Amino acid sequence: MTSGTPDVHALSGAYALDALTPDEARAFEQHLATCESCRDEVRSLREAASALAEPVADAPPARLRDNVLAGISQVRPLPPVGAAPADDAAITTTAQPDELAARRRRRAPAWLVAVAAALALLAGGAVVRSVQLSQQLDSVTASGADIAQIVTAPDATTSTAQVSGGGRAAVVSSESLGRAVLVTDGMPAAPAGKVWQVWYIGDDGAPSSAGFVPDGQRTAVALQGDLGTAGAVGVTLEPAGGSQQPTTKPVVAITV
Amino acid sequence: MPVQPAASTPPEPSGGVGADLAQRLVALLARSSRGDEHAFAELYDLTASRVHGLARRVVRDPAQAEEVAQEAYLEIWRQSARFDASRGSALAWMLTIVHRRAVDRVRSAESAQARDQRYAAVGDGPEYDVVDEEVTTRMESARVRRALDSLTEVQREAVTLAYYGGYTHREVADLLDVPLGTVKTRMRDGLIRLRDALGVEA
Repeated sequence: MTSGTPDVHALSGAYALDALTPDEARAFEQHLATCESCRDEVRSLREAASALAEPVADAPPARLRDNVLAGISQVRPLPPVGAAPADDAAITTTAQPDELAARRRRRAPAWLVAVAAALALLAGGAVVRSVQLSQQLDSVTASGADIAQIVTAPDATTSTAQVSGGGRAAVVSSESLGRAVLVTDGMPAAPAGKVWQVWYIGDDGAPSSAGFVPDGQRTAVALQGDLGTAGAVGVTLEPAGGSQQPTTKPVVAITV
Repeated sequence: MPVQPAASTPPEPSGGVGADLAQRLVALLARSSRGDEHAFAELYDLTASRVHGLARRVVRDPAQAEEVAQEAYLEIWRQSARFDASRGSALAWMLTIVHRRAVDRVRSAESAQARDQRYAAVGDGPEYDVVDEEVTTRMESARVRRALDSLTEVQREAVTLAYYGGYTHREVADLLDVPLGTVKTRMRDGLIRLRDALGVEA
């Protein structure tokens, strides 16, 4: 579908107001890629729509500034589109800025929402502070992309369990990728000199190390290694640096 | 109450905000894209009221509005190298990011009941809670309000329900009890009229 029905031009206003559903917006963006007059119109209508922010301007509390500046110090800006790495090649060749934003919007929130949904399960439906979460993901695990891929996999499933000693944990796993993400909420901090180590537990009961729970109230980490035939994910308290084999009883074991 | 001088205001250049601010934002985005956090701090100071106010208007809950604003700034920081001045103003680019996130938030998070409450709160027009100190913003607000007043009622309702309320065009059609095709047309015509009243370059 390239240019769509004649009616498609009429969607420029709704598109500029973000009043289309994601599917409709994608379809319209395909049209935009081939219709210069619609691109020009959308650009000018976006300027008009953005002016609507003026009458509702409202100074934020000072903490927002602190949070924003703390947040950006944890991540680097993406390279320009022209210098994009291979995995962004599609953007380089075809994307318009609107489409780019939409693409990112589809990608990042989708995984954040999925992790947030897992957290919401844990928190009993409490509002999930996805901002904090994304900062943790960026700064602590440095594997946001992995997390994104895993939790948005078509076959991703979530299992949750109580952590003895406090808090809850969830595993989001994708069999097709052979990967899993561990999400925690409210686990007590490991005592000084100790870490929470994560294990894949095979069907035969044999553990293999899958990494560590990051520090924080709410955390998410992409587990290392292959989910393989693991039937469960467990967490034990281990000396700093971790152990070859678990040396304490698991505080939680989640069947996957 | 002092009477507003009649329509004697000369049209201002594109986008409404001063050309100085527009250029400044472009320069700050460019520096931000190279990792300059001081530039981003200045960018924040120049835009925070608009960004926060828009998030607040759409999602309403103050805590969630702050989250949306913070997420949006993080995205603006990350995407700063990908802003293309030939495709629109920096402010419109930033506010588009904010608006999409705010709309995502209200659409994904809410129950049917919350939606009804939101509609009740949106009513048939925006409330203008101008709390911003910036003189430019205040002047600009007045100008935008005048421009909004130049729309027909249906155009204004369609545009504001979508932009401030975060409703899809289908939902707006249901809310206003008019056919979907009519709503599409009203949104487009309304924005075109708004654009022309604001003197945005077409």
